[in-house]
Amino acid sequence: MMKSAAHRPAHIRESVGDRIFQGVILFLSVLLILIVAYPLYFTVIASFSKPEDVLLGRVLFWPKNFSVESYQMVIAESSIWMGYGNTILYTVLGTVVNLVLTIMMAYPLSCKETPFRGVLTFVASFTMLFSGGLIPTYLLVRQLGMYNTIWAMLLPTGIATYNMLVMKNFFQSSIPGELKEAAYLDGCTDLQTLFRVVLPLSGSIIAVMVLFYAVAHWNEYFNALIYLKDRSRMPLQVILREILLQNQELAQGDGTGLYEKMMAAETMKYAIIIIASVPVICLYPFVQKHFVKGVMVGAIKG
Amino acid sequence: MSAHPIAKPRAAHWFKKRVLAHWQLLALLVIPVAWYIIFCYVPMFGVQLAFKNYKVRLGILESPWASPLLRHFTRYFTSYYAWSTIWNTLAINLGCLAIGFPAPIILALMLNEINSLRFRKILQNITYIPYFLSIVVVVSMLKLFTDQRYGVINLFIQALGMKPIPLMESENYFRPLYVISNVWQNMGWNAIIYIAALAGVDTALYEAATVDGASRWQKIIHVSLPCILPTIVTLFILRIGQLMTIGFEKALLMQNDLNIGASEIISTLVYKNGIQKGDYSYATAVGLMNSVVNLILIVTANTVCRRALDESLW
Amino acid sequence: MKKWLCLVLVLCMTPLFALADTKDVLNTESELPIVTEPITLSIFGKQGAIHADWATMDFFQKYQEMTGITLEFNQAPSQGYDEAKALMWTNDTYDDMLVAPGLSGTEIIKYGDEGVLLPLEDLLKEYAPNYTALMDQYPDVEGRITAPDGHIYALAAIIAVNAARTEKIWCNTAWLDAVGLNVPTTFEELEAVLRAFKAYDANGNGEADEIPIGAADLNFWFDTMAGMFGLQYQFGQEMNLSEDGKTLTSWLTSDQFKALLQWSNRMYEEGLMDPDIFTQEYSKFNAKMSGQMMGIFFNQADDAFDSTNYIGIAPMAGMSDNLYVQSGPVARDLGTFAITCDCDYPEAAMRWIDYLFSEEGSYLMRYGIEGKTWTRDENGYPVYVDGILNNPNGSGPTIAQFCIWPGGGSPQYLNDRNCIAVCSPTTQAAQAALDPYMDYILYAEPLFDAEVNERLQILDTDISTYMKSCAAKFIRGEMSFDEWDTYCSTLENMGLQEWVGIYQERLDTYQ
Repeated sequence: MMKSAAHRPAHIRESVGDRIFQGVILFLSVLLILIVAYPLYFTVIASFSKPEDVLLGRVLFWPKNFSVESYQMVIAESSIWMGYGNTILYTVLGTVVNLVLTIMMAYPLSCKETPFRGVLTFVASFTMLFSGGLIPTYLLVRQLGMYNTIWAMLLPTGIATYNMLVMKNFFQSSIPGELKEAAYLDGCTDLQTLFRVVLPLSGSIIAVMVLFYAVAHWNEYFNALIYLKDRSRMPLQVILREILLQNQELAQGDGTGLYEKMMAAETMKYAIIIIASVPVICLYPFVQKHFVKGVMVGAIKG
Repeated sequence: MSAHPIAKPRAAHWFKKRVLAHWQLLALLVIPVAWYIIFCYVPMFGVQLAFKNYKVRLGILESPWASPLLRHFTRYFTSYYAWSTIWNTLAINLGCLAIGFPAPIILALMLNEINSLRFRKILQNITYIPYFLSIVVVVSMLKLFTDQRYGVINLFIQALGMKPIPLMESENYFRPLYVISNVWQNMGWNAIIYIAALAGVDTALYEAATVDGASRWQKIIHVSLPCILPTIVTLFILRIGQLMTIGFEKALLMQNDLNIGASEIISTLVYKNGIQKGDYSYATAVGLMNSVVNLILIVTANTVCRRALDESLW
Repeated sequence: MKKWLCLVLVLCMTPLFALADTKDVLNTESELPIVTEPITLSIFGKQGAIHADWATMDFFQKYQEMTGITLEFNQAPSQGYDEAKALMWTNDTYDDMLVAPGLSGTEIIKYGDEGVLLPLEDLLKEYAPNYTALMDQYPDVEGRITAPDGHIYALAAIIAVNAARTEKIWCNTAWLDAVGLNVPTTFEELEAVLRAFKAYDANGNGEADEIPIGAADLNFWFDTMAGMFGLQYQFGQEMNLSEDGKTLTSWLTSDQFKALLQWSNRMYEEGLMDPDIFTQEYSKFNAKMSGQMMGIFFNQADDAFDSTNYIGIAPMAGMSDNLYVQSGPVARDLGTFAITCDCDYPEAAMRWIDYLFSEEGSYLMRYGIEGKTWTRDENGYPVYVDGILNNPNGSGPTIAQFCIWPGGGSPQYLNDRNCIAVCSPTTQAAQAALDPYMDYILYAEPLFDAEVNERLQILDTDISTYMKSCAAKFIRGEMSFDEWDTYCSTLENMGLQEWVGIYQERLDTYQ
């Protein structure tokens, strides 16, 4: 964050054009904030309103018939705390596995010296287009004995090729070749170069990867549904969806529900977003901090 | 046959210089490549489902081949809607590409130009949150906001003295709604990668440009943009490789009898005719067809980018 | 003498002994317990989101005791159930019984044909007196559950209560009183009533927010309205049966359907029909029902709204000489029970399910343990104990703590005696208004073989997608009725005749 201030030394006065430019940008930003923030605000007020009022368009700027019922109904389910625990476990361990595997793949692919790197990059990219699909992957997980174990939550999602390619691209374009050459001249091996030169300069991309992977694990529910059996292993998202479904199913089935319960699902889906997402949303500022570190590239180079 | 004796030392030399000298790089690759083989390539044998009549008791390998072999593919095209779903899929994706792809880049560049640190953080954080909303919630809100009588969008339009627009009830507005809500939801999230890349730009470059008397606009064009170009190209190529793919969930939720002409896409049709009925061969076949088209697109995009910009994925 | 005969018989049957011994466990003396020595059967099925864990349910606990058959529970939760079911088929061994597995017609045919599901017709004859009796009583059940190859691979639920299979026409009597009109019986009167609802502020809140007539969506609208224009849903599709009962015709291109659309168009233009009908989700419709915001609407039961001010009315006369009420088939829920090829005791499994289709068995299945969750009235019919139907959590979730039927799709026998939880007296009364219009031959959606099914699937999706999108535009006036011929010819090009032909072929086999 310090950087943009740094790239405009104070002693050079801003021209009129630049000031107009800054004004236009500020105006657009405010507009953008309003457009983006309203639906977010709506999510919050909807979660505190009565379902009928939300559905029939009576909630616009303030919660109508303020109620915390949808939150109470969700929190009443004791297993959400268990779900939180599982999710945190899968997120932390999963992100570590992802990060290690991704660096191990992305770094060599970014080095011009690596044999077969073009082929291997293609081999990796190919998997973004073709996949075996649900049934073969499930059979594989079963055969590997990972069914209903924590491994099923960590290994099948080991590398996200998209992220891996983004990281490779970062290593290629943002780490100056001269630095690596200098390291080689100093007698560093490839691994030493990676640990002593490349990784210390990659704070921002690592932060981004942690965010990408952690959020993916946090929001994961499909693999859990398929690969896990015990309820005690289920992550938060599965538990929350279950609570929502309990109320939605009432509206379908053999017509035996209580009207209020059927309707509760309408606001509960907003409440669930808030309960589930606030922790990860808070992760972002920590990631942002690391974006500054890229500045050091210049420092070292100079 | 004089080439042979020369080739051998050359190969040996290559082996010595590239492989032996950089064995550590190769060693690093062992585990992730093994991962790719086990978790991505091994299950790919399942692709043959597209050409088979899958019998569960025989397993995928033993199941008989479909007759004719391309049966599941041709089945797709017996639907009256087959071609229009392909066009609808492409149209939505092209829209997402035209608006959704540049939007995060512009947002990142804009953020980079904001002087006030606090304001910048606010904008960055707010645009990032929508990513966490589930599709169900986004579509519910979309429906509420576009309602002809009490939706905020139509209230706003009426406040401007215009007639309310049947946004959800028309084929004409389906694509814009889909694309814009996508941009709204993903812009901030997708900008992260550019923000990170911009943070890595050498400050010396900006200083040099300032000394040369460049305006802020010129600095964006000549410093910021070129620095994030490799990232842009990578993501662009990857995006091109998804032109035939859209998940069915959002389109299905937004679908109604009045917009179906625009909202029926490949994945929703497959969902209705195959997946919902547990017909995996059909779903696999259509998926494979999309993948082949995507492969052609991504290889083309990669080649073009390599020739034109000297940047490419592989 | 007898002993000798037995010995000879046994010796003759020695080669068959391996087969015979699965039956040896059966109790031949009486109905229950089913087996004389304990056996275990594993079950797979869909545990609804509102269900308690199946293993702890009173129904299963009690039934294990009664039958002597221990159950091993391998059911899957309703979240992600479709995937769980798809993957279940790929397992090496299957659970013995599929209970409330929600099998689709396609799955029944596919896995029956592949030999995963056992053919049940012989077992039915031998070991299922109750289900067979119901099949005799309701002849259309057999046509619905029999696969084209002549086998029965899965049993359907038997819904022997008309009220559970129709959409009632609810009319707001408070509004009628407010505008001083009687219950409409003809289209003329109906239009007058609807206009009055709109014009005279029927709910008296000073705002013109009344919705004179509404339905959950276009499907529900047609389901009820079509019958008033003399249109039927043979085989569950938009087809009429000729007078002689031999020929099917699609009515999607008929003049009656055009008349229905034109009338709907008029209602829409006049603002009498709820414009949300094309886009709303069911929950929004639900909110309107409970908010007493509609004058006339269609819904199966009155559980989601206070019906004090509503009565069920009969279809309107005036558009057609023949009025029909569309109803779901007796075998409404297909694929509610099946036995797999890995089951060691198919006979016991058949008797296990059959008992639930007896009168007493249906009480156990729908009411739980006698004396705990239900008692008998003076006629011997079951009544829930207090605190179940009027439970603050809703009756469905309460019953789902001890029975598996709430949520639908379970193997159950629903009749007049045991249906109180799903058909309130008001709903039954509303049904009485419809009963006179249900006296015609109505074929239920049958099972087709895999090949036909593949084609039918595509035709079905295409035709219904096109029909509904055009119908919506006709009603909203976005398509003028000058374009009717284009609409008809497009449907023909899609294969409307081929579609009718597939059903006609099936009808021919019934003759």
